[in-house]
Amino acid sequence: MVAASALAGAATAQVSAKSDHAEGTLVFERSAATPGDIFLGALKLDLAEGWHVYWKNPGDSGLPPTATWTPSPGVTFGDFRFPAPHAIPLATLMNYGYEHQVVLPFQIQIAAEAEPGTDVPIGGKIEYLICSDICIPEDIDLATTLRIAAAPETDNAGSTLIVGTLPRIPVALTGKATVERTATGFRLAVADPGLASAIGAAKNIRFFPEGPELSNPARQIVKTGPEGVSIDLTASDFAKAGDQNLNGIVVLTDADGAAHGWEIAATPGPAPAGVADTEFINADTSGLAPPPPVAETPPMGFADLMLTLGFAFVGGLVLNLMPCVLPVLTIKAAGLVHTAHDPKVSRAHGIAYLSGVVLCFAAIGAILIALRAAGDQAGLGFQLQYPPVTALFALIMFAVGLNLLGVFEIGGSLMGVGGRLADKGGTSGAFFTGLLAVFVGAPCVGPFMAPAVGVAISQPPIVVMAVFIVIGIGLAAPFVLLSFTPAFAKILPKPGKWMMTFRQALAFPMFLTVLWLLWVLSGQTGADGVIAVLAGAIALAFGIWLAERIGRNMLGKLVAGVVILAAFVVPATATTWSKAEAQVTANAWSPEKVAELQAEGRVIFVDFTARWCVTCQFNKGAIHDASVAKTFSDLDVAFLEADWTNKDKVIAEELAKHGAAGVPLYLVYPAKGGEPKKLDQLLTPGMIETAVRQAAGSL
Amino acid sequence: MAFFSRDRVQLVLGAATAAAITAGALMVSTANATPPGNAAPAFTEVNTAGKPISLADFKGKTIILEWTNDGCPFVQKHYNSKNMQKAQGAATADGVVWLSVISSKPGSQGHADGARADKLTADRGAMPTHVLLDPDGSMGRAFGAKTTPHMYLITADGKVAYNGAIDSIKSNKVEDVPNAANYVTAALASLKAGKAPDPALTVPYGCDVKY
Repeated sequence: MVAASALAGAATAQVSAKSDHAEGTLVFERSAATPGDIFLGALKLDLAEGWHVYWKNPGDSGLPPTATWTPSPGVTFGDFRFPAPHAIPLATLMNYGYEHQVVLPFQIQIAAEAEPGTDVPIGGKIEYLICSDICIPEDIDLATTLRIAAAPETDNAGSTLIVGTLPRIPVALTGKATVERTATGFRLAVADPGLASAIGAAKNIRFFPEGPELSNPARQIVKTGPEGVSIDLTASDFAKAGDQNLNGIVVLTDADGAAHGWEIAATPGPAPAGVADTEFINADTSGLAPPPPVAETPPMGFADLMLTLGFAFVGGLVLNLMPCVLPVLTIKAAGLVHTAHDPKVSRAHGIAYLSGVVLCFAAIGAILIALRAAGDQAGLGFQLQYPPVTALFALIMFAVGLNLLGVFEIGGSLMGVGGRLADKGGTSGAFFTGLLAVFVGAPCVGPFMAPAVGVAISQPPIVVMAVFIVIGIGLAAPFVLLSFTPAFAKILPKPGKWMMTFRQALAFPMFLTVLWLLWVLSGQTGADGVIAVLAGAIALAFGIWLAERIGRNMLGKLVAGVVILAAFVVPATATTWSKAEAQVTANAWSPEKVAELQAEGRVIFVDFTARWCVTCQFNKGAIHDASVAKTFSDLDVAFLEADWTNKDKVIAEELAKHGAAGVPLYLVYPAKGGEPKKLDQLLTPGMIETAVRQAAGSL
Repeated sequence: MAFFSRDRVQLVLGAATAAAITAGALMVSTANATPPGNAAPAFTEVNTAGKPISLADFKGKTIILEWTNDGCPFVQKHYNSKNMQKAQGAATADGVVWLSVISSKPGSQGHADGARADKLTADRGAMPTHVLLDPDGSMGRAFGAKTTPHMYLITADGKVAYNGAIDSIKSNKVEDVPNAANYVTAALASLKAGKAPDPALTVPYGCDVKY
């Protein structure tokens, strides 16, 4: 600092002082200021190696630096303007602050009445909490004088430092920032031309919240697009329920470590387009965030690992009792009788079957590890409870049931392929039986695997793999045991007509499984999803029947194939439309009800619909969107439905009144009363939200 | 990890439930968060005399948890001003159980064995019911304790009633104590009057817990 002072010349007002772990320096843009002048000063803190001070939001612990200026007549001090901070992880906590050096600019205003030729005192007490692994509150007193002159004079050293710092100070956003609630927190979306143009050079992107509503250590999932960025954030206990604003800064750091910040004041609303096209992988994960909380489980000791694997084995064993797997195994086990006379063949089959099962589970484990590596932490649980998956499982079970009943023997489905290969009877047949057992078992296991997956996924990949492989070994164990012990096989009854009867009887547990999956689906999607799957089941049965009847020529095969494919695809896509967790429920419409709700000062959304109206059904997807439901409940929007499925004079008159020839018609009545706004006939969630927000006066 | 840990039981239950094909209740693993209204996580940690102390020991009693680290300037602020001792004295005189918890890992600031913790209590004239030693940080993590001090109030039926800072002025300065609203004593008073504490959740301030 001595050197810097000397370089700047005698006129500089720069002043320094040291505490135990930092040196603070006050620098100024001017060496002489004029009456009425407004210019920048700055506090520069040079920190001892390994120590840090804090941003205005310190994160999980700490305090930002403060200045208590000594009152000086005619001088007004502004607040510190904090540059973009770093994320500083500490064990399981996260702090936001600065290491090595920080420059905090602030505004200084000289009163118009100041007398040129005089010196004004400038100084005060600077206090900062400075921390390494421990924290020490330190303070310094800085006092200097600034000359008042008729013309301003530049302090070269001071202005160089301050100007050099300004690019780090977050700038106001010229674009748009929105925030939506997600299952685990928030999705922040920022569209801004300046920010978008900086993405190309960015190595790290992070959002620093001003308030406590986020989990600071949680990993932020960043996506980018031509218009800006979107960042998935995890809520803390301080987040309120429902939509809320989110303030803070988005910081882009380039390869040279230069950080640029944008001030964010995000308001609830759908994300702008072009901000979430590609995943953005932060280069510096160490300085950004420790792994998310779920991965913080301490690594297992050897004894713990063995115990867990023991439980995984028991779990796999139990899977044999499932109605989905049992039929496959029983049939196969009965087949053992044929090979019982030759222990060698029998053993080979056992090993092959084991390999098939284990390979399948290893594949599942690998997929999970890959998903985890891709950062899809939260997604894992959801995949297994995803309505289309449930729908597909139900249809597969239905097909398996038909197969057991003998409706078809070898279809075009995977099940049939597996079955055919499994029927081969050779070693390869045994291997495919293993694959089949897992594949057919999946519908039963899937929805219940989530907890086990949740446990395993918090462990290192090698443990995850071990757990899945051992579940597989557990599943294969009874059959392998049978094939290795000919004495057991001899106890089994001889194959015969009873086997056919038994096999057909096993179809009914399958259908019960379908019923159960439909029940699950009804909770996920409501009646629509169930109807879609039942329609799919009929199409499937029809397709199979076609294949059996006329499937001998190419055209027949083609038609049957298309029908069967449609039987799976249509329900799977149909069930994605609706989400049960946040459906809005409508009340019946009547002119009186509208008048009553208008008197209450509520926003009213009216859906004129009919079951036979295809457009109406299509629009239900938008109306029942989760974000619309949230908006409706936040703004206390009354949702009325006028069902014109059957003739109704009152509805017909109302439609005519609004110039509509029929349904659909969507009306939004403003909270302040008066005439409703007519929405387009093809709705999107965004259109509905914008309309009700306008009607509520919040836009 | 206990033999029948939650993880393992879930593993087997997951498969067993599938076998039964019943619509078993979904097992949701709870996050380490203790917002007001949630049940306080169960804990067992030894006190300075080496005796295990559990949440279950204090059924029917109001409990205050105080995360502490004698080397932390924010903790020193409240002990040097006697603010903490006063609150401890008033609470325990009223039948409230006050547990000071030390979660500093061995070798880090504030770590204490029983003897050192007892000496600290004597030197500072502190009046907790027990000082709990949590060197592996398990209790701290279960509660989500972030700072020293970080305060929790647990009702007689085991629910978290307050979680957050000791008072309203985030500083390490003794002179701020008289001007600050003490959230913990206010929460105790509310509870006594049969009302829910307000605020019930604040952002704690201080040093990070030395996990």
